[in-house]
Amino acid sequence: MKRYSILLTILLGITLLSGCFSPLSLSEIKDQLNPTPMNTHSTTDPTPIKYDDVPHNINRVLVRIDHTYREHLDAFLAKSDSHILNEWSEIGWFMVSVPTNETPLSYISKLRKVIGVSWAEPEMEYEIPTPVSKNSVMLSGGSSAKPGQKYEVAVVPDRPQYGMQWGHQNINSEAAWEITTGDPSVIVAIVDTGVDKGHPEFVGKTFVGDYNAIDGSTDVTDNNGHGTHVAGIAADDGLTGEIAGVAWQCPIMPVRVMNNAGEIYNSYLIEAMLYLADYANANPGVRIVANMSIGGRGYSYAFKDAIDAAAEKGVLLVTSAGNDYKRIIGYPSCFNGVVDVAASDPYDRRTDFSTIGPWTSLAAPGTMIYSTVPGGAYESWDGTSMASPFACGAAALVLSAHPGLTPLQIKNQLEQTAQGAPSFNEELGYGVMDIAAAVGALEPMIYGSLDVTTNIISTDATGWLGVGVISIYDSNGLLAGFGTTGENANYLFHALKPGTYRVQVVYYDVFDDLYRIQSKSATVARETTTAVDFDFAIPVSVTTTPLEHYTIDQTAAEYTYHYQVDFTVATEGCYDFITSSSGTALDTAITLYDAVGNELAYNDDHEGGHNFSRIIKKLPVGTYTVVVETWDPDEQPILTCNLDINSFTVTY
Amino acid sequence: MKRLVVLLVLVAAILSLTGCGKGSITGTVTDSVFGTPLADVSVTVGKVTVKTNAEGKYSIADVGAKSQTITANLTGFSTYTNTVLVEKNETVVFDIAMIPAATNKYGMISAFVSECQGGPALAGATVTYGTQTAVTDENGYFYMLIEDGVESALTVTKEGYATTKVQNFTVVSGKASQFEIPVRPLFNPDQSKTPPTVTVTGLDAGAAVSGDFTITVNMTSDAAPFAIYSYVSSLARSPRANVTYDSDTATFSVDTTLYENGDNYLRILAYDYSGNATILFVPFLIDNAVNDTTLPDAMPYTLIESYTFGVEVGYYSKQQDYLRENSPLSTKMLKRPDGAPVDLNAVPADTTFYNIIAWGASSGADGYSLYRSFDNRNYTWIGNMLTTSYFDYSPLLTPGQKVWYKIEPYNSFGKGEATIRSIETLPSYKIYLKTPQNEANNVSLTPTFTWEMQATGTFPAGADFSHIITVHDATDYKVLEALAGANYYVYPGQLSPGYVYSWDIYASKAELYFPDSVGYSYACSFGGGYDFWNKLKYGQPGSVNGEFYFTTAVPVQ
Repeated sequence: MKRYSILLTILLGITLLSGCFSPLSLSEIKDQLNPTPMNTHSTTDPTPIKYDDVPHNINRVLVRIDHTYREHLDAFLAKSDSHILNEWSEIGWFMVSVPTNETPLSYISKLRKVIGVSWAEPEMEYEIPTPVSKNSVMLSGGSSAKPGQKYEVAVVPDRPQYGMQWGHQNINSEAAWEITTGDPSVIVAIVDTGVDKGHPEFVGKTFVGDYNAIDGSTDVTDNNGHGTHVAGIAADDGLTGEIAGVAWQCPIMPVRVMNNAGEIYNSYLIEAMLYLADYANANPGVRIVANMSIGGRGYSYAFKDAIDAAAEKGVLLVTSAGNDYKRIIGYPSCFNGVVDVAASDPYDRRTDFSTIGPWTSLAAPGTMIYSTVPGGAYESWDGTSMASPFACGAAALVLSAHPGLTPLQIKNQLEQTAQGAPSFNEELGYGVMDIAAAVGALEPMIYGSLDVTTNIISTDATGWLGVGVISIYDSNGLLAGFGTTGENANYLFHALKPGTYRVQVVYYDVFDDLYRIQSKSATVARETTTAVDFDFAIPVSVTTTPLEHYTIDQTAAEYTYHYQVDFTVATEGCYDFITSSSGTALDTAITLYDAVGNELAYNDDHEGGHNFSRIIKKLPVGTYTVVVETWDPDEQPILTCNLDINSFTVTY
Repeated sequence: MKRLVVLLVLVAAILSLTGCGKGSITGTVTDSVFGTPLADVSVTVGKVTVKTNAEGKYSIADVGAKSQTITANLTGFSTYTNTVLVEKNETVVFDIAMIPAATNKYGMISAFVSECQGGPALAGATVTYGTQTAVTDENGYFYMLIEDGVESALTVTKEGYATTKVQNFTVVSGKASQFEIPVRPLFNPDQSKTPPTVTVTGLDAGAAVSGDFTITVNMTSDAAPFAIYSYVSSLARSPRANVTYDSDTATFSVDTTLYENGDNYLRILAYDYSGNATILFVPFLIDNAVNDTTLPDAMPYTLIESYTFGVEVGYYSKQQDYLRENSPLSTKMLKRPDGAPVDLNAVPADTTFYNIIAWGASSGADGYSLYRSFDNRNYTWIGNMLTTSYFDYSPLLTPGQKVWYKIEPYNSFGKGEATIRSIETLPSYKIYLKTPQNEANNVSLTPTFTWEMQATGTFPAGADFSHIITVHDATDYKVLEALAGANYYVYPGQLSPGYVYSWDIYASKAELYFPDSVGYSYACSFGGGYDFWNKLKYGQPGSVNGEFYFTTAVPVQ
């Protein structure tokens, strides 16, 4: 959103100031420090989708379509001068280009009207949350983990710099290596920036299935260094070179997801997860544990689908909690069922940067972690990105010692053998992990699964209908999990504690301006999947009738940035007010007023510098005023755009 | 003989005042070591000499209203000399701390021990010099009288901390050496606490040098070498002449023509990976030809700002410019929200207080001498600046404190006109989210978000607060970003029933303008990480305990 961009500009101005102290006058600084108040409008946008602050690719979007309607998509793409860039038939998703004169959001809106399209979303950008590059300054309060079990006998790698690797002492690696150093049938996939396979540390190391998820090639060159550092932690062998990783005998599968511009888009992550699923499917003799020290705020339905698809093929995803210092929701760390790893220090305390939350699984060493970097070098880095590969390597050892475990069983074993278990906290999850215990006796499974299914699924007759928001409450009434229904109209909670839950689904019917809410009870038992289904009154057909079209050009008007027109509703129903570009792209805002001037709805959505605003509103009979303005009259003083008013006829 | 150059430099801020009139001076004279009042001290201002009474007090009236030289003498103590600004019809309170000269056989070290360089005071640390020991007080200070000519290591130890050593330390008779000794937490409890040994080649102690010269520093340590910081003509964390990471050798050049002629010194601070440190001073004399024919001009402008961050670790954070600097691989990874790369060297993330003073370049200057004062009378030299800004992270900075800085341009011909500016630090504060509580259910669809501010002091009148509140929905999309001045915000509109949201004070700051110095002071709540201005993409400013997530109420159907 434009306003957010302005705020960022203000913030960045100060960055420059503090960074190199450019000679701004103090009055200039003062002006910049007083941003305009934001969101002063008193009505909210009924559209439940906002991508304002989520970094995303402006050239591509993701769309999901039922294959039987493929020709509708093809026809629409051809007509709108777009084309398919990638196709993931396993999960029904496509990546398509954004045509000139469209924004990702305006095009998503149009795609959602195409017959058979059940979902469309931006291609969001994720990041590698590392390195924090700080030493271990801790929160006060100290350790919440219990003292670890100690083992008498240990394999101590005879590596020159093993003394730099404090982490192995805290997670009992040496005792674990007495039991297993990994089985070659268990692959450690490093979904990251690539891996420098030529690093002297990796002499003798097996690499399999190299994959570049950006272009489909086998080029896994690490231009960044992150992936090489992570790979050394997870799976370097302790037999050659300077250091020892965790899973010595497990092959490394480098899967590169950062492009040459240093960007990570969720399409690359989706591609990577589906590649792993395909690989596991084609090679029944191997198992894959994947490390993804990557995260971001943007929730992606396609990404959730890809992770679930890989899990179905036995692929476990281990991910970093994030370096956000406090409780911040992010993905994939908050997807239910993944192993979400916090970072600990030599005293088994949480590092100050490690993100907290009830979704934390366990903790692993994550500060001053010495490992490989490209060019034959080594560096000590900080970050949950460094903690996650310890856990991923541990998962590989668990699977080596206990072949046949499901991803959920591996997660359970790592968590329940951690040094804090069975107690749990948001900072360290079940505590700092104990690999020796994890490769030992199996702990009882504490989780069951819950599949919440609904009928909120778009059809060719309705177009996009929106989503259901699912929240589940335990027997004490506490929120135990949440999710949204997405394009398959369901959400699979992989890992819930046994018990009886109240499951609530809320569905906003935009045409009726009504929230439909249902609540049901569901009992989750260990090692089983419970299904609970919700059936809503949803539209079975939606017909759009164009009512008015205005070509607005205020060049000669008194107020060149402003346009208003009255609109009479003769029949109560749902109406659609939408602006679009008429040539030059323009950032617009629409406000809808009733006959006495009360503001009913406002929308200035969509990226700064773009041209698309929309209000969908159920209106009773009466007279209304629609006001269209440029979002920023100072920047764009002259309003030129189209305004369309449509009505919806909805059958339930 | 190796001798430590005296580091105590007291300079008064003098601005010549015209006009006439009389004022008076009064004060107390104490022993600088023990703090006890000294009687019978001869205090002289101009032609008037008085003696202190049994309580150490003196008073001199009818002194010309101008900058006056004040001296104090007592057998067994070094002669005290300073300058005091007397104003018309005013009584100046001017206290004097006499440094014992003893039998001219002893010198003194008066140092403060801090947790990391620029960090909080470290109380209760044991200081050892030969057979002598001392313990740091609550402010991290200790004093020790040391026999002249003895050369030993000064070590500072404390349980849970690595060891810091001042290598080959000596004193000058009758003089005090004053500096900061940083001590880091021991990174790993299993590691050695033996500090490194440092050697310097290319510069002999006491040597007279000119032009460029090259220095090589070598360190040996039990744990792997972490960093070698090298400073010329600087008592503070910056400016520094060189930093080298992950190597036992540092080699760099120093252009002495950029510094003032006279006594100077090289200071080495070497760390190993356990946090053990060794400090080594190498005094030398700069003796360059005078090649300027005029004094440097005054600086065209000066800017000053103060920042206070409320971090988890207390008033002063710990030094962590570990790795974040000079690691090209690391640097590449950090991006600002606009995608531009972040210069990790710009501002350390480790500081709770810092003042920024910056100035326009003086024409004809080689560099700038920077001084700090807490009373606008006694100015302490910080270092020679070769750039036109200084970030002051000193542990001496405390909340609600007025600080003066004097910048004096110099070249080989002499010193130009100095500029003095002042700023006042703000208290630190933290934001704690209150309602709706984390994991709350049945929250109103038009909730009032409330939070509270916990401050370490009272904010001066005129301080403005700004809090940015954000609300995200279940799919992590932001539904609200707004600016609040008070500690609450009513949601403008309606949230959806039965939905899941999370909320936070994303960023928060206090701001105060000082018209006299045309300076600004800021304080920021700091939930860990970096600063209010989102300098780095990672880390979260704002509330300490957020985000809170909650579900909204469902209407009765």
